[in-house]
Amino acid sequence: MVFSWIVSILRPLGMAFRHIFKYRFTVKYPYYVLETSERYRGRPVLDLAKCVGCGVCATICPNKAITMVNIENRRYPQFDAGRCCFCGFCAYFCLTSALKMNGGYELSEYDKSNLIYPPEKLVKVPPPPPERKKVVKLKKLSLSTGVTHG
Amino acid sequence: MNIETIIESLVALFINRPFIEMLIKVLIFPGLMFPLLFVVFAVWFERKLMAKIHLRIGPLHVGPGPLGGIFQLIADALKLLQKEIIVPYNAHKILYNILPLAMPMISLAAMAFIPVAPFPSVGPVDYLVVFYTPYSILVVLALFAIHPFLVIGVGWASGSKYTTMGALRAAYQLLAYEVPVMLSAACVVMVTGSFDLIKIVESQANIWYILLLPIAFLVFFVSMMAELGRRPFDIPHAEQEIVYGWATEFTGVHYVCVMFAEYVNLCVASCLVTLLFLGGWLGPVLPPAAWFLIKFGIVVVFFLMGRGVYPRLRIDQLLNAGWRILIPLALIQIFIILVLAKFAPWILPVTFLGG
Amino acid sequence: MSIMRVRWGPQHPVSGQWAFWLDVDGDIVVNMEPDIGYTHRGIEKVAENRTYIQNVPVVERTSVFDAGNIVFGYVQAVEELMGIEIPERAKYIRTIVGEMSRIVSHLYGLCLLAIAVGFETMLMWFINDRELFLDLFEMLTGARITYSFFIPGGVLHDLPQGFYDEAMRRLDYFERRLKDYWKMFFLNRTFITRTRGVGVLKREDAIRLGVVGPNLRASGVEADVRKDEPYAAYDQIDFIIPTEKEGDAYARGGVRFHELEQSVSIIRQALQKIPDGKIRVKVPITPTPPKGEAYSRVETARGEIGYYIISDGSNRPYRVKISAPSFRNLLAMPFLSRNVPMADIPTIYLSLDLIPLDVDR
Repeated sequence: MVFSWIVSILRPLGMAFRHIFKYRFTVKYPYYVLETSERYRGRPVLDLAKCVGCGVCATICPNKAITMVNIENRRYPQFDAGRCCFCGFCAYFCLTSALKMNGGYELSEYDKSNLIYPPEKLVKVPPPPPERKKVVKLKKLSLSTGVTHG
Repeated sequence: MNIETIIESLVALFINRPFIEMLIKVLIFPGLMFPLLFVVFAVWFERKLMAKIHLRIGPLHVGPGPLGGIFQLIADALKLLQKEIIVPYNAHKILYNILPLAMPMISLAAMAFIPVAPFPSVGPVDYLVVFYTPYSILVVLALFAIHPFLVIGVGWASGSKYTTMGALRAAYQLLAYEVPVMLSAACVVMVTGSFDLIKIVESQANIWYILLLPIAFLVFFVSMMAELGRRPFDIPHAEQEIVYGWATEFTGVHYVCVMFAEYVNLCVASCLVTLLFLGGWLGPVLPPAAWFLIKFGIVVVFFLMGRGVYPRLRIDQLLNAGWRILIPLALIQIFIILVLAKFAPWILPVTFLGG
Repeated sequence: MSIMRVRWGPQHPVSGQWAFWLDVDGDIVVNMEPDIGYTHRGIEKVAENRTYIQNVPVVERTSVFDAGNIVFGYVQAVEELMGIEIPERAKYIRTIVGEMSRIVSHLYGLCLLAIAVGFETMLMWFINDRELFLDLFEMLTGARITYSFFIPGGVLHDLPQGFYDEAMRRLDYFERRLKDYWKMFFLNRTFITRTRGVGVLKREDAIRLGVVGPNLRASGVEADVRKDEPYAAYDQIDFIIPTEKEGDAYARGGVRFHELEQSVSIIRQALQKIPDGKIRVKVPITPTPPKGEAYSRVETARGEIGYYIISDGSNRPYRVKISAPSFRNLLAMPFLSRNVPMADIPTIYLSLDLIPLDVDR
């Protein structure tokens, strides 16, 4: 009983010591970025040629982030990034697959009125920031050396 | 008087052997630069060690390549020094401003009595020590024991009821663990026969005290961890109603002094453990100062690792452990020493109880 | 001695997003009163103004950490109202997502228990391993934490290519890691000293107070909705329900830990037995169920959640009532907090796994 007492005090020390020699789990974010899967839901991106202006996206959005505006006798969606909850229903229920959710997640702006995206801005996917070095993903899962990204 | 005689007299006054030796001892090796550099290094090392155990990175940017983050403490200290000093309304103004400045001074004073390596010198003894006294272990432990009173004073002087409660809890813990520290140091003093740290190290030439008195080593190590306020004995600093216990109201300069004192206490405690139990500077091939630093480093790593490995104990469980377990263990160790002295005196060093 | 009234408010390092008043006599807490309502968002009222499919992201925000199981009850109630039957493959996919969500939520609950006793290392290790499953969610549904994956009629997407191999790789690694966690966390002498005998909830008190979930199972009562009224694919998969007898904080942590092992085994069986077929029954974009009411129960990670939906024939529900598990467990907290030292309050509160989002809705 005394032996199990001593073991239960010393064993955590040994396990913590083993962990010092493993790789780290974290990724140094702005320089290395984790790869996102194809289904990853960023902000929506519009394909102007396919959009017919039906308005299903505005009907189905839970937060009313998409509203339809009139441009030259046609209707296009206007998107408010401050209200979006990134659920993806607008792209899922779009009748012509004109909306896709691959606009990324780096959406900060300095001015709140820039968060409302008129249809011309909704078309563009922004480029990655300049200080980014590369995109990594999870490579190896091993008990002895830990998790490696590369 | 012309210029040449003035210069000659100045040179004779300052560039002579005792003065340069005194400069090295006071300013560089066990003097001022050693604890300062140790504090900078220990804060970085603790954060990196914790980060490695947690499988993450730790401080990264402020410093050169593989030693990334080593100047983080200096950056934080400079930022803190330019912050506004807030004195609470109910605080006792004189004590509140003076006591935090006294804390690192007392810890640095304890550092002045610790010998670190043999060194041919013209002082009273041939060792690197700032101030030699044949009762050095008593002086160091006495200075170390002033710390609880400063904590209580600071907690009361801050004037808020939460810091007072925090200071009282810290006082319970720190005063309860003074007794095992003194008892296990008394074991070592009994076996050696003198209070002098130099003679304690020299009498370990045949066998180190960690192998001869293992129970005393355990009691001393655990009680020192409680005296320093490290996990798992973390009550003075964390786990209060308020975030930082007795030192909550401190900002700016006072906060830097409190943090600094805590790490200099760590330095003093590790030096004591190396000198008392691990054989100080004795070792085969390398120079003695290098052996001292290696053993000192290993002890510091063990003190620091306790933070990542155990959760925090509650105050009544902690006091239970102190009064009911550690003091009887120290008394058992004294009993074992007396038994060995009677029946197997060839194990103990020659100078046991004065010869 | 006089009794001091202390408020641990929402700006306290350990209290979470609610507040409580403690009556303290020296170091002993005499009485405790919770003060909830800081995160009330009016989800039940908001749900009355949205259509049935638009409600799915709204209801999901009831408890963000366990987003799979929370929506499960809602879609089952709506399907009962509309009278449709979902295909088998959809049931299996819902089971897999529900169990992965249970693993993610239990890892978070155990990490909170580690913070309560001051153990940062286990916090980091549990959150690290949560990442493995969040990547699987991203591969399957497209989002990591709030995925809005279930809609009335089935699920949105099918299992992608390579999901089976990737899931098996991560589950193997996770199962072996669980052994390390058991040794480091539950067999650690300081943790045992800190949580054994703290906050003991006896069997009769647990039933009388109406506590649900792992807290009930840690007091010796075998009650789990997955076995009592099986839903989705749970009647075709075999698993056991871990229970413990002591009812203290250590037992509650232990029950959550053993449920992790059971969830891994359930996911493995479901991935092997999954049949082919469609994943979704066609439902109009704004469905209009006939008049009626429906009630459905689901076992989330924190306990049992109940949804009661009344529809009056239009395309918006008339009333959505959510009976959240943390609100039911809240009553145990003042009961257990009498005559304990103040250092035990975080341990009791975080071992009951109360999430203020659930309490306030």
